[in-house]
Amino acid sequence: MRYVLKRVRRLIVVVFAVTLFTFLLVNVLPGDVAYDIAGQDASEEEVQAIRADLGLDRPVMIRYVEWLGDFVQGDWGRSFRTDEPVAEAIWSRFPVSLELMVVAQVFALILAVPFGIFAAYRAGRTVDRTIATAGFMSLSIPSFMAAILLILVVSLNLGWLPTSEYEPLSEGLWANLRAFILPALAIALSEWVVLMRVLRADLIGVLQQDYISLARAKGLPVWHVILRHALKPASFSMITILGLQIGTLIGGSIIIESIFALPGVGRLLINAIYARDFIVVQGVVVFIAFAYVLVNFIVDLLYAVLDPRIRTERSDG
Amino acid sequence: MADPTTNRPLHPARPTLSRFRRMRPTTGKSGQFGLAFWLPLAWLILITFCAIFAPWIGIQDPDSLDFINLQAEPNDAHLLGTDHLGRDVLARVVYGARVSLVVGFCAPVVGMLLGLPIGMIAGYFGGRIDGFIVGSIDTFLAVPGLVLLLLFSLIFGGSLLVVTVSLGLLFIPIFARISRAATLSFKSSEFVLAARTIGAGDFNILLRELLPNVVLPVLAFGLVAVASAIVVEGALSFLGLSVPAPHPSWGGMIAGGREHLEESPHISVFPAIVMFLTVLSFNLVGDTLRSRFADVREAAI
Repeated sequence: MRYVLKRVRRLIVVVFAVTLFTFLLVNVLPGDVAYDIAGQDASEEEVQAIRADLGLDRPVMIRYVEWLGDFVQGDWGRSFRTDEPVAEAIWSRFPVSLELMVVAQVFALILAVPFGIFAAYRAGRTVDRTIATAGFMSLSIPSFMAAILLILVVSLNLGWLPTSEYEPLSEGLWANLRAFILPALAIALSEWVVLMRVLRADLIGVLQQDYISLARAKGLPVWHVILRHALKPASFSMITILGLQIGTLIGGSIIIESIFALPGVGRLLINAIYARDFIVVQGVVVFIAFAYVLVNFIVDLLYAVLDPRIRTERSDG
Repeated sequence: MADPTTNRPLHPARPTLSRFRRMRPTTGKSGQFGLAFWLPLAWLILITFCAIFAPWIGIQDPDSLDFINLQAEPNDAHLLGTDHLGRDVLARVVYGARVSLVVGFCAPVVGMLLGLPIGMIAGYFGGRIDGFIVGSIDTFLAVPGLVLLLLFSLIFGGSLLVVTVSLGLLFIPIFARISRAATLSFKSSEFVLAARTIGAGDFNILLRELLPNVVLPVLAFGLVAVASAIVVEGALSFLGLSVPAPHPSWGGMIAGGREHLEESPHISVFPAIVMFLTVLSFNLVGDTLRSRFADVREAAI
């Protein structure tokens, strides 16, 4: 319980620091939105009028406290450009990002588990080294490059999945899902390697345990032993990493969303940046940071629940 | 908790990660570097040479427009073809290498110069200072790197300097963590104790006893950091938020060819291949060096 309290306190501190940092960065530094809205030939008075209108002329700390107060109550401000409420804009796009992440992680698992098992079973052999090399190459393809190559090969050359518009789930599961296949694959192509490596390492360790030898000695077939006896204890770390990756993916799918025109949080951020829509950028950054910290927090807690050693050891860290 | 064999403290900040690193096999035979080291190294030397001497190696001007040959396939005049404005793809790939390599090398150096002292101070002094630094790093890491970079490019505009410095800032946490872990594992060793016994001050111990030991694992990580710096710069220039538009960059070229993937895929594919080979080479060379020089110490991260 003390561990949980400690983690919660840290969670709050981190989130608070992130809001302050983001707010200061967006608000103190040059490139004031008032100049953008007023246009290039606007006089200084006009700019000042817009500033007063948006409340940008008051001291930054007062604005921060006000913004934070509203933020906690769910009012994240309105877009300078479209007048859309920021909170609504984010929440309406979040399911798309979430779906993309889930599909991507499913693909990553589909790649990671079999290859991880093969690599561990044949550790140090040709199969293992081939998989390691493939993993290295896969890691060296940035996701935006993977996306372009996938579009080129799968959609244009093979004609399997014509680049399709995003359809909401109400249009049917397949219509909805098919727009996610290529983007998810582009993300999974770099994510699976880490999962595979962790699974391989843990599985090698587990396979050396006595109870595995016992199972083998009883005459159980190799695949039965690996799948039924070894895989479960060995996949613990991998599942942790899977959770932590979801945190990074919230921010990492930004480019993929904009390449495939998926209306997710990442695309919202990119478009807000192109439009210099500061209040939206601010909202999205805090949202992403909060989601990231929260996921880490939950993974940490689960970890502590499952592995009692962590509770005492890490309470000081 | 201490490792009974070496009596060094182990710090399992993320037990899973450390386990995975420790289990990693060393690449190749133990005595010498294999082909997986020399081949990528040769590529890196080639690409660096071309980037440095770009104006003198007989390639065309990357900005000159050849209106007769728009989107030309690779041919004798243009070895890798031309893009939609008739610019020579080979020339642009070579000049684009300048951007990627400058950012790729300089950003980790910025991160190292700032992260190394921070990490060493945290690891050496411990206590409140350590708590504060580790806490700040955690906060910093709470915002995904790319988001932070987008934020910087929004505020400061895109230029080589801004990209390099802001990307360098992103490397502070990782370098600080590595040097903190290394400092922790060395600070209770005999030679530090000996130095303290003969009256050396904290500053002297940090600089003369610990730094030489900490620098090695940090440098060994450096080349891998170069690879990820190139990838992130590519992502930024892909989004048009790195160096301004007419200036050639790999990410920008890949993005530029997107509209013409169907008729002339070579506009995107050639820079993609070159970038892939470069990133892969840095990863391979870096990983070989890392597993050679920093295996034991990194296990403590």
